[in-house]
Amino acid sequence: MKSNDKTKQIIEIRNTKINILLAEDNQGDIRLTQENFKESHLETYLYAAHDGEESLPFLKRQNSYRNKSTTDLDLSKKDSCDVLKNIQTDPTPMQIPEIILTTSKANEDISQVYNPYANCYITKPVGFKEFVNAVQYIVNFWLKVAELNPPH
Amino acid sequence: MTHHFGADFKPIDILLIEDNPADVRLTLEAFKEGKVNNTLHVVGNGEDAIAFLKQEGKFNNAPRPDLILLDLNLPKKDGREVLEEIKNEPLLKRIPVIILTTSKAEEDILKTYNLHANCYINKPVDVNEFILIAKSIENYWLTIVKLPST
Repeated sequence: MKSNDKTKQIIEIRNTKINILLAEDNQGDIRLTQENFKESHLETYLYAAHDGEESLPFLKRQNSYRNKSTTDLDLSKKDSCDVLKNIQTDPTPMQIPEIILTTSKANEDISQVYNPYANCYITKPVGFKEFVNAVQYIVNFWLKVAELNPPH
Repeated sequence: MTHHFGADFKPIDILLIEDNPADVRLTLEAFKEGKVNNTLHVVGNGEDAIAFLKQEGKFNNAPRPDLILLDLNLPKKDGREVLEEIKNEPLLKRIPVIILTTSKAEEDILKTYNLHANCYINKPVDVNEFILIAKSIENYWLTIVKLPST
C-alpha cells in the first residue's frame, strides 16, 4: 500500500514538472539559460538540443509518450522555422507554446516566425546582464503569469 | 471608446476585447502606468471586435492593432470564435492574441492554444493581483517581445 502511494506521488510530481525544450547551439547561452531556470526554484526540466534536427526526435518521443511527459515550452532559434512547421503540422492533440529567441532583429524574420504561429519572438540581447534579464522575464512570464497546457 | 496615453512618436495599438467595465478600467490603469507608449482601444463584444479588425462600419478608421487582449466569454460572438476567425484570416493571423479570462477550465487552455492563441492568462479576482498581471503583460509583450510590424 505504502509503495503504491509512493509510486502515485512520483507520477504526480513528474506530471507537475514543466518540461522545456531549449534548441540552441551556443553553449554559453545554454548554460546561462539553465542557471536562470534553476534559480527560479520552479519544478522544471530543461532539455537542450543543439539544432532543429536534434530537437525533432525529442519532440516526437515526447508525443509518443505524451501520457508520461510532455513539452510545455519551447525556446528556439530563428532557423528552427522548419522545426516549428513540423511541430505545428504534426497531428498532435496540443500545441506547445514556442518562444523564438534569436540575435536577429530583421523585420522579415519576425514576420516569418509569427506566420507559422510561433507564440512570441524575442531578440536575444548581446550584453550578458541583458541576456540574463531577458531569460528572467521569460521564466517569470511563462511560468508564473501564463497558464500552460495541462499536464497529461 | 479609445484612450490615448503618452507622447512618444509611434504608440503601440492594443485592442482590448472585454465586456466587464471594471476589468476594462483596471487594464487601462495598468497600461497607463507602463513604460511603453501605448493606445488601448476597447470593444465590448465579439462582433465589434471582428468589425474593428476588419475596419468595417463605425470602425472604418480603426488602426490595425499590434497586440490583442481577448476575453473568452463575450456577448454576441464568443471569444473562442473571435480567436478562430483572427487566426484563420491571413491578414490578421500574425497579430499576437493574449487570452485573458476567468476560466480555469483545462479544455479552454488546450482549445485556445490549439487555435493558436499566443498565450493564455488567468484573470485574478483580486484587484491588486489583476493590476500586477496586467503590468506583467505590458512588461513582457511591449518591452521584451518583438511584435510583428503592422
